[in-house]
Amino acid sequence: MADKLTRREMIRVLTTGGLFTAGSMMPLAALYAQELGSAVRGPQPPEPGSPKTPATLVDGKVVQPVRELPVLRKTRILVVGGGPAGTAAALAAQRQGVDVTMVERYGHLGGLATGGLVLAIFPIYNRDGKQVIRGIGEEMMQRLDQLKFGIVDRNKAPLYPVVDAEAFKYVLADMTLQSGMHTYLNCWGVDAIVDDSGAVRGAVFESKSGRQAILADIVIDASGDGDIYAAAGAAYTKVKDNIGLVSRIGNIGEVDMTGGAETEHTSTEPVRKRPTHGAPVTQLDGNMGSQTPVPRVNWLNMKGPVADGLDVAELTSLELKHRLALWHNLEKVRRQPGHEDAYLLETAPQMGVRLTRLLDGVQILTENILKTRTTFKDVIGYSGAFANVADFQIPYGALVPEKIENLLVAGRCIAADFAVANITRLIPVCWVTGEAAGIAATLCVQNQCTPRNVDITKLQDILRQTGVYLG
Amino acid sequence: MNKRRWQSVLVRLLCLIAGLILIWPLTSWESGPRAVVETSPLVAICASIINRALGFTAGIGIAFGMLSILKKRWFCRFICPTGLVLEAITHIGLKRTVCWSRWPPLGQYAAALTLVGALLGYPVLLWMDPMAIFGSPFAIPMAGDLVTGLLASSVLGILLLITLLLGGVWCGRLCPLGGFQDQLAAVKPIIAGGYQTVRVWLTTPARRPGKISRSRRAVIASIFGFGLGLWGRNSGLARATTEDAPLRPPGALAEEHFAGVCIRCGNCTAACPTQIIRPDITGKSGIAGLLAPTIRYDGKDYCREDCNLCTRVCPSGALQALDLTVKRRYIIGEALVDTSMCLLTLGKKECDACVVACPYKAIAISWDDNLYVSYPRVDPGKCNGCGACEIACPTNPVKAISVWSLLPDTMTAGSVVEAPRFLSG
Repeated sequence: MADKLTRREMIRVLTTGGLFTAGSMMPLAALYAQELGSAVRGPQPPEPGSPKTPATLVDGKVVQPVRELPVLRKTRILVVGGGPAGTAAALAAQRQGVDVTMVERYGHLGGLATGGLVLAIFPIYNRDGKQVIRGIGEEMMQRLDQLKFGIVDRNKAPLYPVVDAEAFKYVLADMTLQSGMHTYLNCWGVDAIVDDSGAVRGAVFESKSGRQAILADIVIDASGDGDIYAAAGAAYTKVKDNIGLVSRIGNIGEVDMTGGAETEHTSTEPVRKRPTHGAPVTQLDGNMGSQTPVPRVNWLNMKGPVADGLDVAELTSLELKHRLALWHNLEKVRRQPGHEDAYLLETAPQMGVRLTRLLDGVQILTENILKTRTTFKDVIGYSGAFANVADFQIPYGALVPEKIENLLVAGRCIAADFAVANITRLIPVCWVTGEAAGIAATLCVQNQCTPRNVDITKLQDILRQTGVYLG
Repeated sequence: MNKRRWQSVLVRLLCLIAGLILIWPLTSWESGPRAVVETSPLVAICASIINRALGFTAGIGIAFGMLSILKKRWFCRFICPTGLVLEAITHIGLKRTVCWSRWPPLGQYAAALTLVGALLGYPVLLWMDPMAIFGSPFAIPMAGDLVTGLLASSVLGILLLITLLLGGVWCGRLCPLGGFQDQLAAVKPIIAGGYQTVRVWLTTPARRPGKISRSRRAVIASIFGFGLGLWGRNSGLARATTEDAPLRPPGALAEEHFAGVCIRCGNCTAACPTQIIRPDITGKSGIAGLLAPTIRYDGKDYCREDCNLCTRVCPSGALQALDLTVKRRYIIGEALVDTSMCLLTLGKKECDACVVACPYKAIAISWDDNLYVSYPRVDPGKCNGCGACEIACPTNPVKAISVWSLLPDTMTAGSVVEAPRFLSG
């Protein structure tokens, strides 16, 4: 029985071994536990940012206990969202020498311009073909100019530039790193932090590090959905708009894909025949989309049905159905001569949510204001001409919530009615509102005032100096 | 020329100038062109019969008719500008002996035919009325192209030609308005002589063979007119192809009556500020529909929501006068989308040109879950076929959205006086 251990011997060995390990190998074991993911049972030491106060079930209701959140950072300006508006705001503010922190929900910067594959930089021209959106957006496009396959159709009004999403992600990563701002990716802004007076003091984030807070003097809500201003209690209008899923098709055959022309010959047989009433009945050919800067790669827009962009069930069901439709379309594309080897290069990581919340701001941009071509004393930039709407001014008041203090809004969720928001939601217009919000926030910090008391003349001076077109 | 004749020429010259001013139109009186054509007693009476109503402008024409009872051919002598023009031409035309003096009074038969037809909703030869002809050349610049314009006023051209060749045959024998006045003048002795004259006239036909013969022919013409009118009403002379029938201007009677009632005066074509009303030279709606006005959206403009001029100038009742609010609900046709051409449906462009252009907000972008595409959907309850979408649509040469006539089964069957197709509410 020499080669067998009795129970007592076994316990003794284990105990001494355990004690030895606990005594001398503790750091190593901890390292192993972290790196190899080995299960360490029992109560764990508190991880940073994750106090263990789970939600509890009380009388059938799920209750989140009051808990203190770890503060990740204290900053002067916090930008929630790293899309076109957020990156423009953060870069503009950081360049004024103010400490800026930007948090982004996805693993890349650029929002729908990159992750949403909304590659057309539209609208940037007025009706005469003059580029009325410049500033930081123009700088981004100039950087894309330097890259091979970065951008096409620059300065070719009325054609609009089309960018490559990966090149754009690269440019934004480069600009962000160079600026020296603090950036957190994969970090979802979920709540506002407000003080006794209702003024915003920061925001709460959810990430792999758990729920954390960032405190700031001024918060810029560039979340696109107005998540922060809604949480802070600002008044807003909720809308529904089309939600699609944009994609890119690779290995498209060499065919004439001139997109963006004002009129197009669509019929090979120009025969006027009476269509039937109601829904489309035609079996459509595969949609090949339009050109990107990358050869033999097309991007395929999808308008999608009108849906609630804040409803996770609806978003999920749509994204799944969109995926099936994109594959079926690809199969149709492959049936067309010259495109037999086309493949689905990628579907956008971000769904094409257009509009959800629209701020009730100090100045709401309405269709009527556009029709009367109203000019504003507090103009902070222009939108280019869009369809039958001429270029128009964007007032600073559209970025400022009616009541909430210390909060600025940039991007698609600014104060506009549905018709105007259909224009102000577009990529270059988001650059404009973002840049203005960034500069305004620095003025707040430097002059210790709230956004609604910003010196407009000074704001406009700085914007002009940085190359923004103000008319 | 004697003094009376000079007076007549002078008055008719003044009438010609007044007519030109009203029909051009150089005044702000919207119904001016209508009034000019309705000075003709024949037009005024036929229109009143068809409309089942007596308007102010028709009242003037009927008053002129009364005067023609008392004074034979009063209208010819003191009003008719067409007659004045033709008379002037006889002086430069071939001076022949009057070869047509033995011709029967065809104009009287035409008038009888037309009047009886009008009772049944089809004034058969009213397009031959000199006042209708007088208006037609004013539509030439608005008819789209010169050929169409000239074709539309071809009746005037024929008149000029026969006057050059045969002198005053039109006024003397062919003109239905002249014939109508002759018939009216024949009423005078009945009024003057009372019952006795009537009794003599009716009971002693054998003593007046010539006149009886003419009366008989007039009666035959009336019966013929009755038959034509009945046929026109029930079977429809203007049988349009159902799939692609011509679009008619707002206020138009139902298609089966419209072409018969329209007298081709060209007032609506001339009045339309957007030049979308054109005389039909395609023959799509049959021979009876030739030169009747159609709407074409092949230019840069549509049937404006703030205009009802064409309905104001129609003397015959083919286009019923409509208030602006009612006119906006009149269905010219229905906008239909050919999704196989639509840029939005094909995913070529996020085009919403038609949605934006529609003055009645009748088009919305809809989603088709089977084809997985967005497409413009027209609300038939709001669309009146104004064509704003069609001209806004960027596809060419064929538009992805275009206005088509309503199919017969969607039309409201009704009598002539019913303006048939309106949006509810």
